[in-house]
Amino acid sequence: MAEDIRYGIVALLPRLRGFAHALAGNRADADDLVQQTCERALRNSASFTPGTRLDSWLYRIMRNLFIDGRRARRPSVSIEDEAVAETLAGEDGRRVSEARIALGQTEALIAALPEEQRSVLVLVCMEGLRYREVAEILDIPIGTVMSRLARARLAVAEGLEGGQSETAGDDRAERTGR
Amino acid sequence: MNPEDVTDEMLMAFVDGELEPEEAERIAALSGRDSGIGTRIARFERSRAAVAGAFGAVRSEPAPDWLVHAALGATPIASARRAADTRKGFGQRLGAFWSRDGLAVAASLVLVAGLGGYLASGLLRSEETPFLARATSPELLDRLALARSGETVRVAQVSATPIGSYPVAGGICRIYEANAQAGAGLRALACHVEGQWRVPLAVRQGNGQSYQTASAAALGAVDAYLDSIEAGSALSANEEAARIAAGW
Repeated sequence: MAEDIRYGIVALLPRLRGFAHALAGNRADADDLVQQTCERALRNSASFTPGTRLDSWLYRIMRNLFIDGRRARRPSVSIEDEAVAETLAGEDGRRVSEARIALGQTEALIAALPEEQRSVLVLVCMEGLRYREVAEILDIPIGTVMSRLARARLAVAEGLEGGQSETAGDDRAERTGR
Repeated sequence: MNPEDVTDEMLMAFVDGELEPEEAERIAALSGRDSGIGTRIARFERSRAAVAGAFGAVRSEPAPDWLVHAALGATPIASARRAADTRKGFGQRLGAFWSRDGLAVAASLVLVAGLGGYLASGLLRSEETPFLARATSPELLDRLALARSGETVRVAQVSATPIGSYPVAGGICRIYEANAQAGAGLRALACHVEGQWRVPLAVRQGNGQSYQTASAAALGAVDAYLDSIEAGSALSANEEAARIAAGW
């Protein structure tokens, strides 16, 4: 196994942990996911093509592991239709309230998104990947990347605007002594 | 192009720099004439900026040592976390690696102790790993093999100086210091095993901002490691010169 791949993985650990947190939603599960990703990557290092992006390869492995793990935990639930996924307001509502306890506002808004949108959002806006690169990692058309990303961005923007208006309202209440 | 023809995807792609130049120019011109377009663009800019800073704490902190071990494949993955949870002392862990696996295997654990032990404790920062790779590269180790203790060699903007040479079972280990122009520094062991030089231990020294003499932590870690593998006394200058001439 080429040592420079291992060094590359070590150097990418902070970014892998960030993506894992966005996927898993909590520190313990995220770090377990990073460990599984390292294990899978080292076991299959021969399939990595030198000269290509190591980060993209690792993100693909991590996301596949996450999806596999989620299917294993909830074998009877398979949400392929995003429209259906987005109507599961009860689940998302619980996730929002739980996430807000431990995470900041933006992180909570990200956690509330369907996984399909969350992955695209984080890979583009947090990891700085191009639409084409994300399409390759997730094995979906670039048009799907854009539609998922736009919906996620608008949801986050609306959430942030809602939070700001709540804060502004609180400020006004304090200033007027109410 | 009219404002009503502009989709959310187009505005988002404009913000993300994904549009062709001509299309981007049309959107820019339109946003100057239509405040509604400008407002919609601002929402995509705001969401991108917010997500870019998300999970900042975990992305800026050093990874735990059991994850570094997992990334290096340095220990069986399944036992990596257990090993971290045993809370053994640094010296104990080093000794365990060496005594269990012997010199050949221990030498293959490149930077296990340096990255695992010291990255976790914050003494080695993750952005220093490129320096670490250069300071332990085969090219640098080959040049060091030809240098007597006290002589400095330079490879890829890294200066390295052997400090002493110590016989161990099955080979030889040499302490060396390496420094980059940017100020990063480490004290490491290079061990000659099966015809190759490898680095089983590297410890950051100094504060990374300027050169400092070896820190007590670095000295202590390297000494403890040599003790744990029952290294002999340092070779004399003549003994070392003879080893260099013979190719170790």
